[in-house]
Parts: sequence; structure tokens; C-alpha cells
Amino acid sequence: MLGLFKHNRLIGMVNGFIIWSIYFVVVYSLLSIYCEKKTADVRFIGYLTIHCESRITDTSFIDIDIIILALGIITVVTLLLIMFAAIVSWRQWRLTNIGQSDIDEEVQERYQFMFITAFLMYILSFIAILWIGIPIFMLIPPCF
Amino acid sequence: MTPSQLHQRFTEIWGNPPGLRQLMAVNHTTVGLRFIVTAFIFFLIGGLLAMLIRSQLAVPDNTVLDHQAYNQLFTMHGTTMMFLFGTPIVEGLAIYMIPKMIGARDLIFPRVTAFGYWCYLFGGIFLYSSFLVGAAPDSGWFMYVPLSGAAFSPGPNSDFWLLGVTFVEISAIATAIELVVGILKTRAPGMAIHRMPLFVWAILVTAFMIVVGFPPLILASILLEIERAFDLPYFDVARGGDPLLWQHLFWLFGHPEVYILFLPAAGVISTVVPTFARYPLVGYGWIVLATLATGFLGFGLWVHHMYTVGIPHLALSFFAAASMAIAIPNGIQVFSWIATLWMGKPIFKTPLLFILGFFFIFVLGGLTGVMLALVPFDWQVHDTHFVVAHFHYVLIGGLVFPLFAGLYYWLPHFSDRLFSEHLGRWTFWLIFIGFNVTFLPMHLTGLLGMPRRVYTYPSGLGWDWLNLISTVGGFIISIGILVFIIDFFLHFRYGRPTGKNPWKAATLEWIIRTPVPPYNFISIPPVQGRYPLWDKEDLGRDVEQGAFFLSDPSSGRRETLGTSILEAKPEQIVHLPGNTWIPLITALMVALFFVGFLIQEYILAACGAGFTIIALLIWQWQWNGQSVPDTIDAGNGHILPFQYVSTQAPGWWGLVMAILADTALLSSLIYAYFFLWTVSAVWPPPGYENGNLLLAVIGLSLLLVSSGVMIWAKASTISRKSAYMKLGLVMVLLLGVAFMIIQLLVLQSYGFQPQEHIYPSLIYTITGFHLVHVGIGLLMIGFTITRSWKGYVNERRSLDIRITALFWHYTVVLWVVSFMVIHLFPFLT
Repeated sequence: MLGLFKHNRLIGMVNGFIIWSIYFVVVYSLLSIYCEKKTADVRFIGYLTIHCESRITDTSFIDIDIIILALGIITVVTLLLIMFAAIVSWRQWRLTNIGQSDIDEEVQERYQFMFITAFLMYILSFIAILWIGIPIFMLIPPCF
Repeated sequence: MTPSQLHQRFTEIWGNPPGLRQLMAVNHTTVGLRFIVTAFIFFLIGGLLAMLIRSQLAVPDNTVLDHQAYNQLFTMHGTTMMFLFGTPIVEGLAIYMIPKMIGARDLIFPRVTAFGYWCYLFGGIFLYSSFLVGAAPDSGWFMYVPLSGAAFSPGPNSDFWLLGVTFVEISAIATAIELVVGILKTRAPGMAIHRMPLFVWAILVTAFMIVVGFPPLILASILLEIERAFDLPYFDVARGGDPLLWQHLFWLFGHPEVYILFLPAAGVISTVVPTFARYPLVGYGWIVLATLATGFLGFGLWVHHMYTVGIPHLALSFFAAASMAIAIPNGIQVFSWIATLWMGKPIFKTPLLFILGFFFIFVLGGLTGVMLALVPFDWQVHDTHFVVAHFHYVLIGGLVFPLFAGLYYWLPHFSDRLFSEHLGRWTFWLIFIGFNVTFLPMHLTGLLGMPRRVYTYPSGLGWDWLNLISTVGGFIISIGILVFIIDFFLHFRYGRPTGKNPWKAATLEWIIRTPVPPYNFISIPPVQGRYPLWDKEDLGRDVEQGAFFLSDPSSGRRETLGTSILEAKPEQIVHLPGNTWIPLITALMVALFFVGFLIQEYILAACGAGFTIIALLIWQWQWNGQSVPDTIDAGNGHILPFQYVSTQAPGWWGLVMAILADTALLSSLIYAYFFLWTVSAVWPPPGYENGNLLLAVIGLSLLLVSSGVMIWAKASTISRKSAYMKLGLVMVLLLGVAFMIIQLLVLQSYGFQPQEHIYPSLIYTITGFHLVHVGIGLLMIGFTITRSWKGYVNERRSLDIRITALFWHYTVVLWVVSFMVIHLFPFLT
């Protein structure tokens, strides 16, 4: 099953945006559930409503809502995952460019296309996730 | 045989019957043309409605239309352009062109092609019949609740829309499924994934988007129709529902729809530009990348239609960011096309003129799109004519202009004659100028505060002249369309005969002789590059002489070559069905169902559903391939199996795609469940306890056991133990029936009615949806048992059981998920 996501498979070419889709659904859903439920119904996700307070100066406090922390971590982890996968696809592409005598020329041509497409898809999805994630790090009140 | 003898013989095999029996035709060329012509007629009707709208708005306090007629007209204008013109014309173009471009003789499920057309036609007639009874839909093409609900729209207006659009969507999804499978499995040998024409790439991504994007609206329509007919409260706030659920589901479909319309148009541009630039497209890989990225990003924008409904700002910023990010892939495409024109020596014929018009209009529409993606700006112009101007720039620029380019480009292929370049240019300039005169001032009208969807306005608000100019522009567009129609009809008589490939294009459709024969290719050519006709100019001659694959017509069967997904290596022969009444009959039965529902004669609707099932069983029974050998010589030294004995049978892939569509539908339902949970104060509401959990667990266990038995039955087929297979299938059948009975008992154990509150209604809905799946699964099992008794299912020809098993396992997984949602989730503490 995981083989479907290799970069020389049709689905593997779009891994970057599959990750983007999952990320998008997760951050939007978590935020929506949190904002709807944090006061009305704390039974299921009540533990999420604890606020972390961090002292940044002697005179002022900033409240970092736990959801911001969670979304921030998810964003960073997803970006790292994409970076890792992008490096893998880049290396695969480099290898096919060097040329391997045991691979048919036509297959090699196809691999080059698929690996570079997968790599560029990672880059685009990285930009899309970073772009979506920036407001999270602005620490605006999450449910305002 | 000589080429002309081959032509004659292939035409006999693939041709349509004469007279009224033309209605039996399943051939993609015929059905594709029917799609295109019908969609164009709907385009004209939709345009007529637009002219009436513009006439009403031309001057303040006008009385051409009253508010009721105005509401009906703007609703039907939007509905027509999106559902009856936009989607069908791109699908029609794809149906007509794709097999020709990929070197196939027909689409992979020809009866589905015909069925899709009939559903589309009947759905369109169904929608427009509402005018005859004075009950045309009038709640906007987006059908927002509560306006479209039973309380505020008690007449059948909304029902016409909900049922008619769903009818048309069946067509869209069926066609999309076969386009995906056709593209993946029937490309000419050698047309590997990195050599596919870009139009084919665009259609592949579009078809995937339809398969995933249309089900949310189908679900929303089903829910609203159930609410209207049976009073289940999905959108009723008083009983726990929420009108915003409709908006989410609608725009989950609605925004991807924009890209469903734009991507094929972009595919047309990527085809026309290299031909007229006389230069291979610069950045083939980049355009594939952009197409794929758009296919995903297009799904992350839906909330930008809902900026004003009260969603937290941070969540809005996610959608704003995604809405801006989609400019990147679109920008990549535009730069690639410009670079190609820059590198080549462009020939400014009419098709290219329309492409240049596209650049101007679409880029402007894209820029206002980025403006609208910004939340504060959107709040200012929300529901004003600025938005109307924006989406007409995107849709007319992004769809209509490229379509006209495509029509002018491929017209000689269809008619063997050239249109008048003179009239073509008149058409272009009239539409281009008319369009900008209509919609450029409309930005200003919107910025000055004129709201959408109001039938008139008082004078003195600064909108008078702007509206008059827009109306004048609208009529200029109409004159342009009229010139096109005149040119179209005149060209059949006065157009210069072109012969093959007048534009010296590079893709395979141009080696087909004109008038286009129903079989496309006498022999299916191998392909070695992205531009096969530029690589080898005399390829057409060799194809005609039968030098390549499947050139022997002696069997009298309709055959095309099945190839592998990535490399397009020959792997099977696909035996295709011929002309038949069954698609038309099935579509008529579906129509009976919808009509029964509309007039609230539910027995009639049930008859329609029952007859549809019978028709589908006959449909499937007719096609068993018993007279076909296991393998044949496909030419060029390839002995290939027929799909009946292949593990890569198109039918299996078709089911995989259908399951994808179904998963999208049920995911939307699960989404609806959790959405309604988030907006509720207490879940489950006070007084609602869980049903008989023990019984529910027994039901689940039976279903899990049935899945195991199904695995055993399938394994028995392959290991030649036919009796065990039948025994296994009968056991699964019995377990399935037992499960259904238990489900009904579980529902009964709750002791409440689905109309009371959203909580029980969701339990009934999810259980009901799943029971429909179980019912279909049981029918498939019964069908497979019957086929195996006839000896049609055995270790070599195991497609029936493989398909049945796949569907059954899917049904079991569905229930595992649904069980957790409705039986476990609410009671987690």
C-alpha cells in the first residue's frame, strides 16, 4: 500500500499536495472545533482549553493559546516532513540524471520527469503550507 | 486489404445505425458532438436569460421584469451556465477529443458515455420544464437555505433545481470516471505519462476533480430534498441543524468547479499555442506541475465565498492564503504560454486571437481574484456587482474565450472545411469589446455599492450610466455570438475544404481522415514523443495502411488497445460494446425516479428506482464476453489477453474511481455530522441515549465475518474451487441480509423519530446511506452467483468476483467508520 506513494508512481508524484491537503484539513478542523467547543462543551477536548502563559518581560504577559501552540507545531513538523521528502525526490532525480546503464532509456526519461515533478510539487506545497501557516505565528487570538 | 477496404469494414463495425436507431449510438464521436451541440444550445438559452437580466437593469426603476421573474432568470442563468453549459461542454469536448488524442478507438465505457449524455439532456429538460409550470428555481444558483427551504420556498421551484442538478451531476460523474480510466488505460503504446498531450493532462486532473468535487453538492442536494420532502432538520436551527452546513457543502463543490471549467480550457490553450507558434510548448513539465497543483489547491478555497458568515479570522486567513497561493500555478501556465509565443513565430489566425483575448481578460480576472482573496477588501465588496464582474472575467475569460479558440481550431477537423477568417475576426472583436464594455464598468458599479441579485434600483446613486453601458456591452456580445453562428452554418457551404491537418498540428487527432470515421484509427500507432506528427509526418499514411496495432477487422468486434498506466505498454485488448438501447432506457428510468420525487408520488419514484436497477442488471448481463477468446494477436508480434482475463480490466478501475466518488460523498456526510456536532451545545442532546449497543456490535461482527468469507470465496475462485466460491457468496449474502435486519432493529431500539432533532436524523441518515450500500452489495453478490451458475465466472475470468469483493470490503470499511461515528463518538467521556 505504501508503495503507491513512491515517487515513480502516479500518486507519488503528488505527495506534496496530499500532505498539504491533510495539513489543511487538520489545522482548519482543529481550530474550528476548538473555537466552537472551548466554552460550550469541554467534555471531549476540555484539556485543550488550558492556557500556557509565558513570561516575556518583567511587566507584561502574553497568552499563547494552546491551540496556537498545537497548530504551530503541526505546521513546523509538516514543513520538515515536506523538506525531507523533497530532498529524497531531488536525490532520486539527480541519480537518474547521471544515468544508469541498467535502466532502459525510456524508463529513465520517465523517471526524470516524475522525480522532478514530485520535487517541484513539494516545493510548491511547502510554499503553500508556509503561506497558510504564517498567520498562526502572528499569535493573533485564535477565535477572534 | 487496401486502406479503403479497411475503412469500409471498420466503418461497418463501428458505425451508427440509421434513422431513429441513431438513439442507440454509443460512439464517442457521436455522443461527444451531441454533448457539445446541446451545451452550446444551453449556452444560447443562458445568454438569452442574461440579456433579459441586462435589459431589466439598463435603467433605474425598470419594469421589464418583476422581482419574481428576475429571481428566476438570474437563478437559471447561473445554473444553466455552470451545470448545463460549462461542465457539459468541457466534458463533451473531452469525450470527442480524448480518444482521438491518445490513439484509442473509443472511450473505455461507451454505454456510460451515452448514458451520461441522456442524463444530461433529461436533467436539462427537467430543469427547464419548471418554466412551463411557472415554478422555475428562484433562490439563486447557490440555493442557500433557509431561502430555498420548505418554509420560504414552499412551491416546487427548489425541488426542480435540487433534483434536476443532481440528475445532471450523475452525468458529470459517470463521464469523469470513464475519462480517467480511458486516459490511464487506453493510450497509444509509448505514450508514457511524460508524453501525454497537455489537453489530456488537463482532462485527467479535471475528471479527478469532478469525481471528488461533485459529491459534496450531490449530498447537500439529497439532504435538502429530504428536509423539504420528509422534514428532517439538517438546516433547521430550531432542531439542531445549521444553514451554514449548506454553504460549506455547496462551496466545497462550487469553488473547485471554477477550476473544473478552467483547466480543460487551459488544456485547449496548451494545444493551440504550440501549433500556432510553430514551437513546442516551453515548460511542458511546468504546465503539468501547475495543472496538478491547481487540482489540489482548488479544493482549499471554498471558505473565501463565506468570509462574512462569522468564521474566526485565523481560519479565514488560511483560506485567504490558499486563495492567493493558487495564483502561483496559474501564473506558471500564463508565463509558459507567453514564452512559447515568444520563442516561436506566431501565426495570428482566429484561434490565436481568442487566446490573446483570454490572456487579457483572464489575467485581469485573476488580479481581482487576488483582491477578493483579501478578507477586508472582500467584506467591502461582498455581494456587490464587483464580484459579478470578477467571476465573469474569470469564467468568460478562462472558459469561453479558450473554448472559442478550440472551436475554431478543431472545426476543420470535424467539417473538413475552413471557417471565414474575416467573420472569425468580427466574432472575436465583437465579443472581446462587448465583454469589456459589459464587465469593466461593472467593477465600478460594485465599488459604488450596487448589490447583486436586486431586480431594480433607484436613480441618483451613480449607477445609472454604468448599468446602461453594461447593457449595451451585453448586446454587443450577443451580436458577436450571432456572427459566430452565421459563420458556423455558412462554413459548411462556403468554407474552403482543408484536407488533413490544415494547421500542421502535432497531436494524433489530426491524422484521422475527414469526415471523421467512427473508429478513429485503422491501426493504433506507437508514439515516441510529445509531438508525434512533428516527429513523423507520414505517420497517418502508415496508420491508414494498417501498419500498427489491431488492424485486422475480421473478427467484427469493436476493439481497442489497453496499455499500462505509466509506460503505456500494450497489456490487453479491450472489447467494447456496440450500439444499444440500454443507456437510453436506463436514463429514462432514472428520469422516472426524479419525476416521481418531484410530484411527490413516491410509489412512482420507487418504480423508477426499481426499473433503473433492473435496467442496470440487464446492462451488465448483456456484456459477458463469452464469445471472445482469451487472447489474440494484436499485431506487431504482441499476443495480448482480452480484458475478461486481464488483471488490469477497465471495469475494475472504473469501480475504483466510483468508490473514490462515493468516498467523497460519505466523507461529506461524516463532515456534516461533525460540523453539526461542533455547533451544538450538548451532544447527544438531553434525552437521547444510545440504541441497543450489543445488537449494533453483533451487526458489526457479522459484517466483519462476511468480509473474511468474501476473501475465502475470492480465493476459491482463483484456486478453481467453484463450489466453495458459490457457497462463500451465498454465506456473504445471508450475513448481509442478517446485518440489514439487525440494523433496522437497532434503529427501532432508539425509540425516536428522525424528524425530532438533528441528532437522530443523522443516525438515520448515516445508517440509511450505508444500508443502500449493503443493498447494492447484495445485488452484486446475487448477480455474481447467477453468473457463476451460468459458467461465466471461473479461475480465468474472475473479474465479477474481484469487483464484487472490492465493493463488499469497501462497504464493510464504511460501516466500521460509521459505527465509530454514530455509536461510539457521542458517548466518549
